[in-house]
Amino acid sequence: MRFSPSLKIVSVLIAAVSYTTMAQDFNKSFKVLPDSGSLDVVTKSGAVMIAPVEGNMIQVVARRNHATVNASQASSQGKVKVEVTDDTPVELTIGVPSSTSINIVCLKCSVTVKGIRGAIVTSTTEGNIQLTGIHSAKVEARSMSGNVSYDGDVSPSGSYFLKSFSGRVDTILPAGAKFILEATSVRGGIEINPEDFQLTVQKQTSQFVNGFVGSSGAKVTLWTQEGSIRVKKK
Amino acid sequence: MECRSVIDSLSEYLDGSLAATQSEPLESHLNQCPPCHAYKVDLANICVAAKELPLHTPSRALWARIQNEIAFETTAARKVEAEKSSWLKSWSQKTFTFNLPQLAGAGALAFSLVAFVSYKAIQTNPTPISSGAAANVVVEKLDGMVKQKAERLNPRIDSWSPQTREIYQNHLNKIDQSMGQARQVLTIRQDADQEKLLLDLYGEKLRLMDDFENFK
Repeated sequence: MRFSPSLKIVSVLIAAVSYTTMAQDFNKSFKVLPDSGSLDVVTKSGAVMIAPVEGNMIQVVARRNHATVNASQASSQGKVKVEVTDDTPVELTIGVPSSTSINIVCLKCSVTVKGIRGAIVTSTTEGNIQLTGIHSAKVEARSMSGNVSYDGDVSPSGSYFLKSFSGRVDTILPAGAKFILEATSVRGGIEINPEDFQLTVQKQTSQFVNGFVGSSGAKVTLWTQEGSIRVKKK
Repeated sequence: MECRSVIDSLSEYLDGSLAATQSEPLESHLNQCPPCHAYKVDLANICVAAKELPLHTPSRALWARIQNEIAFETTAARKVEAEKSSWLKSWSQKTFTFNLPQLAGAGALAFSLVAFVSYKAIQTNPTPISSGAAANVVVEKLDGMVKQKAERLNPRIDSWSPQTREIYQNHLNKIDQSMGQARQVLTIRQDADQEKLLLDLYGEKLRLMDDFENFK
């Protein structure tokens, strides 16, 4: 049986289109209350990217590669939960109002969060966490074997916990930021440029640096067992 | 407010350093959540017990003894160097008399020897953490929490994929290894930094277990 060249081209095109559709075929939106949106993400492998969007909607887009993606809302305009139970890598791109509170638990993926004002709690066992342009008063980011980086504001009574077991912890804070610092690096070293921040040291050993910059209730806790810690000025 | 956030903020709350805006939801949660309330009561008891522990500050007499020993050892080392060439001759002619600093030095040497032998013994057979009573109470409490979580998680481990199981075990082992190292230091000497590190590692272990409770 022989196929004409034009039929072959059409078949290839159909296959390509259907593959693309299969790979990026999850798209769902949820309406949330203004300034009180909440998002939970539980996924095993791939990437999670969260960025602010206009309006009171949470938009979930996934390149799911045949994996099952569940996205649901417990009540009308309530908390949105996105869950991937398969081991197949899934790329989740989620647009949220900037005030949304975010909770991400991931097994083996990179997490990127940009421009969020709401509370952020994120952990990944294997993979990097990158938080940029953050204006939140509560941030907790933990990775077991990846690097954790934070570039954002320090609110006067905020709390910022950035931890990695075997990766680096890098922070870029605003020039005039005031905070209480508790940095622990068991094996990797702690680097704070004295020209960037005038840290009043309360305790300093090869593994710990405790002190404060200015007078503020903000608490910055940086911790790594095997990696290094860097605190830099923006 | 979630239990995890409440547990994180409890220490600051008990210290009175938590902002009013954060204290109110925390108190409201404590009133509704018996496990968190029980945890708060335990932590408060530990704080009270820790405050009642005596503060050990070395006495002036101890510092004076240490200075004497250092001075004695320095002088003795110089003397040995100077008399090295005629050591045998001096030895044969020497009349042995001991004053108090010399006896103290000998005592310190004997103590160092015993400490070294004990250290070697501990290395081969580590004993549990032996620092302050308050730290022991906290560690016991944390061990209990780890055990409870493990009991909840263990039946589910078989249903995880091999990849999930492997990642969980690898990372749990890494934390356990670091905990073992911190414990070993604490069997040799009381060290507030190592105690804190050990508590941090317990925190990491509990968090890791919490995370894996989310996976099906």
